[in-house]
Amino acid sequence: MRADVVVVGAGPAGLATATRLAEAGRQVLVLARGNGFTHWGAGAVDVLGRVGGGPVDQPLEAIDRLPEGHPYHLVGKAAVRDGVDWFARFAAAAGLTHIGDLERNRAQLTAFGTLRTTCLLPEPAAGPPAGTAEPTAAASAPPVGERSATANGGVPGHPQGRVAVVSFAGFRDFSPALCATRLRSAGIDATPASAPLPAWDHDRYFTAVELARAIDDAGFRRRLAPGLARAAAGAEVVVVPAVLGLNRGHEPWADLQALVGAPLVEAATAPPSIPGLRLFAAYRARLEALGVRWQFGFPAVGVEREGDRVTAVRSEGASRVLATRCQELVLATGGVAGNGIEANRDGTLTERVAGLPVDGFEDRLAYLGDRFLSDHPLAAAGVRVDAELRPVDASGEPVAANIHCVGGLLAAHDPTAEGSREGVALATAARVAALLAATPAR
Amino acid sequence: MLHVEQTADRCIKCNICNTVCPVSAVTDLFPGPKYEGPQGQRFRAGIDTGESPDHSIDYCSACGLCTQACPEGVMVAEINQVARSRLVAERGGLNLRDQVISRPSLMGAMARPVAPIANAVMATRPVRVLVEKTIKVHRGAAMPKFSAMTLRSWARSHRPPAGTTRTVAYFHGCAAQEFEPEVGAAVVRVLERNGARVTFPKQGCCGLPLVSNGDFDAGRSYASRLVRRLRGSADDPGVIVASSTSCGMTLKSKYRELLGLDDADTRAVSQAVYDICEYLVGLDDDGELNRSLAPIQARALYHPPCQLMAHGVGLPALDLMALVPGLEIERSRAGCCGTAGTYGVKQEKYQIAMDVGRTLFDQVTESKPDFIICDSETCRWHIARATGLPVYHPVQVLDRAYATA
Repeated sequence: MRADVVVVGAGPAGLATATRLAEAGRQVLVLARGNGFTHWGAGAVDVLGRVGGGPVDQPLEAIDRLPEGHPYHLVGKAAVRDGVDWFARFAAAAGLTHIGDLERNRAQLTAFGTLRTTCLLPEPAAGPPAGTAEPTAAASAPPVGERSATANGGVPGHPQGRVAVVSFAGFRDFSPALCATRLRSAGIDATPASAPLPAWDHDRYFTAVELARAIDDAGFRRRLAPGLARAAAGAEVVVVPAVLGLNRGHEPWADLQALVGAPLVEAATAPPSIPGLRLFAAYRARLEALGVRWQFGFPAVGVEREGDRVTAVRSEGASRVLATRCQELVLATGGVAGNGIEANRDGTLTERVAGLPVDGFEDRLAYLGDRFLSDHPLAAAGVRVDAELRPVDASGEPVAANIHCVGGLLAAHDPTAEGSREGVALATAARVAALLAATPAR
Repeated sequence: MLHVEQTADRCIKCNICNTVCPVSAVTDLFPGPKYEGPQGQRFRAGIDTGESPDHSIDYCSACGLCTQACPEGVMVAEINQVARSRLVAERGGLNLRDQVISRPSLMGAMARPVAPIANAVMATRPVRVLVEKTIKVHRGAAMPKFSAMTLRSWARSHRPPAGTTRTVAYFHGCAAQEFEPEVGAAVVRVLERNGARVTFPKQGCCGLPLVSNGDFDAGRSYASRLVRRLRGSADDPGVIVASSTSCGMTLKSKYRELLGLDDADTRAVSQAVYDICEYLVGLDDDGELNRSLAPIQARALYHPPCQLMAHGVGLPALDLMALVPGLEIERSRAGCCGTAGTYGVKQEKYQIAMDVGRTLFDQVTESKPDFIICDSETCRWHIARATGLPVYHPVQVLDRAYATA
């Protein structure tokens, strides 16, 4: 097999890089071991939520306070802006308008009734503009202040008034009582309620995915709306789980909102994330339209080299390891949680595709962290790169001329603790797109 | 390497597999790969009785999309297939219907002497109703046409060109041998256009229908026999080309993963097997593919079978179709056409197969291609029956472009 550029990984960094390179005219193959973070995350763009343990209100400005070597410093603020702007245009063109900007962080309501700090959030999660009770498809939520960013400010953009937290009968992944209780403890007048589902094909088993697919159908929405409106009677804002449509962009949300006659706010749920699946579907459609090939389920396991260049990527096949020849290799495989880096039992860390040097820690006891998935030293382990995002050795020299690393695989940042996952993904994708777009296909 | 069932330990319960399952999307009879696979696995581990905890496992179509979507390496579909085989064993083996549809070579050989009559009879509604009532093969399901001439008898009268530069063995399987010798003939001619001498090693059914219906013991005896017969070709010529996507997949990986055959002979055969399009793209990579293809002015929709994805070779047919001047290709948006081998012919599963295929059928209705291209025979039959359009193997398209060049 043969490709011009092979992108390994299909999370936020791999998908954005592949799309941008294909838009720039490169012929791209995406190799992925499976679906990635899109399906787990909240469908939002986190750029920078915390620095040094403290909350961040202005993400672009707060980049200055990040430690040396952070991916944002390597690519520069212009690349951050480029990445986020590109994403906003891409998502809007796919019918998935996102609200927000790099000047101020916003808050996204979760199924637990908490607020997570993010930068861009999907329009259905943004809430109505302040001071209007009318639903609008072009909502632009005002930024949240420090209070709301610390889970005290209420529903984004609508901290005042009565809030109904409504789930759909039989849907097991959203508890309106839990969500409403947390909101009440934060001073919001929130009441839990349940709306009946119209007759449909899934009485026994369904997850957010089946429900979201059903809500894609206009007829189903018309049958759903009266019950939802009754459950939310008297409320000025209606919080629902993020299940309002899967393959029709944000149109099912806007339509249902108009039918119900009150602003609907989607709360981020546990995986599978419908807002993330919508984004994945948008990427997939765009990549296929651009002629990009992809292959899921067979991890890249090695590279072939000639001198300082990689000439082929080796991936598992059904019965043989296969080599795909390429001009450029982009690794978007993620950190330890994303399976880009393997944490071995002896305490060492291995980069899985090209065996790149990993910046981790010497002492195995440094594995110990106090909180699950937070400020854990393992989460910051990664591949150290130069300003062109090429992996480097201990002396800072590139170990290969045509490998570039993007996203969570990079050293010197902790996407979860910092709340920087999509921002780093998009900024490094922007940098690689700029670097490789200039290289003509050979 | 972990045993299939041990991969359940890697599950992080993220539900990604459930998001791609085409079956649970259309029916409540199957709750989704996660619940059946990694979650159900602990109840099958033999701690209590080891009996199957949930018989809805039988509604898994084994399309394999869940395994490919899993980011953690859980072999979800394979776990479910192993579980189904245990369920079948608990029930005392396959029912009559599943025994019959699991032996395509036997069916083909029995009908061959009376093929035209058998086809005419099978095309009548009263007979299909009777077949549905007696052995529960749905009256609407696509049936292959029996062929009076086998591929091997065609090959005996076929005169290969002189001056070959390479040799490949052809594993034609049951479909090309008994039902679609025209596909097999196209494979042979296309290989010959590329300087290959084609050999026809003694072979037989790979056992996939038995395996996917859950009779692993019978499948294993088919597998061992086929490995013995193909073993020599794995050394010489060293390349065994397969034109049936699912049988090729079975030879490459399912003997090892599902039947536990991991001996040196099985490995040698597995590693020598190439999907026909994979092989041709390999020739092209080395600059050795004959690219003198005549234009075909047409619009076609390409549907990659779910079981092609399990080869891990990408979509080689798309590369080949791109070489045919004038041919405009649209990609299928569907992950699976629904039939997944013999699944869609069963009375109780036919409607599920049609509902799964709706994504593809609707796309066809919308874009109105001249014809459809698909690598796998059971998919071709199912799609042709559902859409009324001709459905070709990619090699048949190449064969035509070569013939007029």
